[in-house]
Amino acid sequence: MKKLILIIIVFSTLQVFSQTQIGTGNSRMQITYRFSSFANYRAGWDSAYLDRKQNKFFLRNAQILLKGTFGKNTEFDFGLDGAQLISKANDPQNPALVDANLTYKGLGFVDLILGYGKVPYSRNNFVSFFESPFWQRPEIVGGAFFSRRDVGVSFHKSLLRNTINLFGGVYNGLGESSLLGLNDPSGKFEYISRVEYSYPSRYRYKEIDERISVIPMFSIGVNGRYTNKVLPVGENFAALTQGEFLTKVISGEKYTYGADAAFQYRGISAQFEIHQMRMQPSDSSSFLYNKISKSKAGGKILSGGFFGQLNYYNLKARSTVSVRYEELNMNDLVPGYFARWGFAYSYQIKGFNSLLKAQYFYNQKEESLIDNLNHKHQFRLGIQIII
Amino acid sequence: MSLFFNWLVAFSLLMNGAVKIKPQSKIRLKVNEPSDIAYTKDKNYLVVSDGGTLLKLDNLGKIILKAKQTGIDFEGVIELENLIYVSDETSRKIMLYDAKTLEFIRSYQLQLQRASNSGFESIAYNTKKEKFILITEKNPITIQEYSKDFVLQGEIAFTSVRDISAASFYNGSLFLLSDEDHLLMKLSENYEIEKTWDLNLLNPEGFCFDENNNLIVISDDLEMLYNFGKIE
Repeated sequence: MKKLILIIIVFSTLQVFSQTQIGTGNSRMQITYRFSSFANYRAGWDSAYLDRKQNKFFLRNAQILLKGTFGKNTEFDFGLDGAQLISKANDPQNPALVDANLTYKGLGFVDLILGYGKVPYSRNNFVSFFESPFWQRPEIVGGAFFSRRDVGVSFHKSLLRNTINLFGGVYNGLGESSLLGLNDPSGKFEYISRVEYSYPSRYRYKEIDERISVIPMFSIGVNGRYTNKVLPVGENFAALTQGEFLTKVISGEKYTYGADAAFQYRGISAQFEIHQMRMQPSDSSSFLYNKISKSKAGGKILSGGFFGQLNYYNLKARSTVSVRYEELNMNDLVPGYFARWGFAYSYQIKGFNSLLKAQYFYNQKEESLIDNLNHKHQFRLGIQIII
Repeated sequence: MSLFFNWLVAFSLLMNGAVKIKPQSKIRLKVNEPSDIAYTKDKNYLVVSDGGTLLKLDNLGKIILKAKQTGIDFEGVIELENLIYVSDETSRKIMLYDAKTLEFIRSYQLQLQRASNSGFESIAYNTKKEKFILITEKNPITIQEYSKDFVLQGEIAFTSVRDISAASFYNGSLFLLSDEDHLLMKLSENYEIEKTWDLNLLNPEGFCFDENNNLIVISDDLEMLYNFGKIE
């Protein structure tokens, strides 16, 4: 704890300079460095569980981001996270390669995005981690349930003063694992689309009402994704591809659909999202059926959940307090579900560029067999810096 | 910590002393993301947009002229001696146009090592000192004085608000607008705040005063022009 306090004191006294742009014409690039680190402490362990390896300091991010343009119509984004480069985890919530994509705006009627980056599914996915009061995203949108990034091509179109946004894309469907260079024996893509509407003006992808909106603002969105990756007999997906719960990529048909809403007014903001995944494994003996016959299960497994988050930002106190509740049922054929409360406090030393963040999670319920966390309480305290 | 308390005191004074004003009328603009407005000698409006366009609008908000020469991210505009000066935030350029025809004349390249969207957000001209005033948006806010041929003369930090979205000289005083704090400020010659007005408006990005001394403000997100009437 002394070390953490020392780190916080050192960083809170730093004079933080803003990002720097190189070049001033049509070809220019902005360099940004983003750092975050926290102490993690878990308590309320199951008596039979002895592993305490997560009680330690974490370097979450050490990112270099390059953003720029070349020519009048082409933009690029590239981001690399040094903190994750030597990690074996391939954490979808915090990958080593943050972005590597091009956006072409020369067509006029739509913007085309090519390469690796965030997929247009879930409002939360558009919100930068560095603008959240929490240290973790809700479980359902954290990348274990469905991918947050992938390689592919997509389009974006804004209408009516950016109050309507349309997105669509074709991706590998392997998510963050697309970068591992592993073959997908199914040879099929994933298709993703999203529509959102905001009133009375465009709604930025932020959780906190830092501008203290003088009129009530809201935004709603619906999105869906579809893939049908059927493996030839004897073939398998690479282990990391399928994700923590082995549901991100399955052999068979998979529909994912969800809706979200966001509201902000006078420093109060709220977000809500709900998602469901319908999996139809091609193999009737798939472990997803949980030893229940395919016909009895109706040939499908349903998986889904929701979260709601309420935030209050006080400008004078430079502080945000947030509360979040989330539920997740990874498999409707497995008894139980996961439920968690989250509480966060953040203090802006210098806006989001220098931010202290504290988080407490209470794991109310767990879904046995699938999501066994083995602890009740988790605390995180740390700092983020953007230079 | 002392810096924080100083900021807190300054901010409390600002917010508590601000006069709350409401718009008397409004017009929907057909301009994508308007970022600043100026009132012209021929009794029209000049409006610039985030997309790098310069337009002349009549009193009803109808577009009557559009400059052929575009930029990247226009954020500030003024008319001075039959010329129009536009600040292109991303390219750090001051673009010069003919006030009558909106024909492009030339540009001045300025130097500023900042993030792309933290360049010069506003431009104003001090007729008494015969200097241009260029102000960065945030991180940090800096007021810079330039000669008429854009040679840097001096600069001062401004820490009273979170951002500056527009600037204009009116009746011999510099007025500044803060988008994030939706606050209009009247400054002394030494750049100290003399008076403030709370606009209670979403995303106010630009302002000017018309021939009848009405305060005109544009909202970027709402793409609206608001007339607040006389404020002094």
